Amino acid sequence: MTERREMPEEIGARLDLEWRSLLAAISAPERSPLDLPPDRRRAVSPVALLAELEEVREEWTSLQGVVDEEMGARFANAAWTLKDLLAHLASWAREFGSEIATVAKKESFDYAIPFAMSVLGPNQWNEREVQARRERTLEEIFREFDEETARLQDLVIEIDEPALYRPTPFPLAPSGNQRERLLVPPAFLVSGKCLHDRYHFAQIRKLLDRFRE
Amino acid sequence: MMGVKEEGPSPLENRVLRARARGEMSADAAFEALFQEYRRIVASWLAVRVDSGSVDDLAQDVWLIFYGRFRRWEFGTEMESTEARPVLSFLFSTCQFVARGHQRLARSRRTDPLEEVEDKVAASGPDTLLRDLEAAQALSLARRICPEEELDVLLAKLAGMSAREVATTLSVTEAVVDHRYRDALARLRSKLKVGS
Repeated sequence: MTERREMPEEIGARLDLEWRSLLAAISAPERSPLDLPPDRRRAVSPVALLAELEEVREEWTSLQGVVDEEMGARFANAAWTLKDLLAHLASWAREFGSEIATVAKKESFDYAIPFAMSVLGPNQWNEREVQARRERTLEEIFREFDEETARLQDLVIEIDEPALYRPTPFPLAPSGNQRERLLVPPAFLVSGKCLHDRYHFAQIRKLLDRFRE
Repeated sequence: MMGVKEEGPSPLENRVLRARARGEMSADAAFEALFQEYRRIVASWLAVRVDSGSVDDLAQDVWLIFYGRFRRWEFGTEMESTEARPVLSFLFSTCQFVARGHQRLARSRRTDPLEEVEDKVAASGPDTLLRDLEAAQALSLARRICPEEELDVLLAKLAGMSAREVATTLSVTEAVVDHRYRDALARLRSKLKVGS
């Protein structure tokens, strides 16, 4: 007797049936993040950090596919071109990578990055780092960000878990006073890096839409 | 509502997002409604990808990531389409990233010789849950024999995402999505016998 194989549509229907059975049988967590205390509602487990860094890298890769030299030369704001904005993200990817590597090696910081002339960020440091990348190609800037973000993923895996959640003084000094450093667990710094990236990605997406109009 | 495909013109997600955008629903109430709507889908997506003992923890990671993101959610024009489900798409890609992160972390933390680890995986089974489900032979087989990109498409389509949504989420064309879906079915067809 010849063995009959199922038709593709039969297999599709069978998968659909199995999927519905799985949905009915699965013991999905019933506690939502809203059941946790507000200070525990942060995605900072090593897996969550790896996932957020991976998402950032994918978004970066998709930007790399659409931003060309001509677009990079257009102004993103009164002071920076789009290429400068990308360089800003690359500079912070490098800085965050170095900072987490320092903590992983159980070393401390001998410098500060004070917020200056603004409550929003360390403008002098930002400007210096962007200037330092003006001669680089777009490709070099894209590569720097991706390599540094990949390095952060490696560091999230390598760093001792207690160290990942221990409040640590980092170089950022939001008050402007070099001795008043940002005191946060490294996991929060990595999560903050992703937040900062996504904030600028949204700006860049809007810019690209405007350029296309 | 168990997260099965909704046939109506306006999925619950769409209604929740619109209500939230109009200020008719608080962020927490909207989040809770979406959590209840999709928690089984998220757990099932993870159950197909990772060992059953890790599903709860990873599902919590997925929901915490979404919780953080939903506080700053931008209500775009996609809400006007009854087909679009940006939250489901977001959860789908987050499950992918979380599963990859979990696998990478698990690989790096293995201290046992490789064979021992493989024995343990075979004994506890990465798809114990699927094996326990009598009817889940095709799903279990898909997990074992389909390349990751085909499994992604299968899981997204099973949860009711349209080809367009899957294509946007995976950054590929709709033609590629259809191609991967057909390839996955053909692969399963070559292994599955009628009545098995």
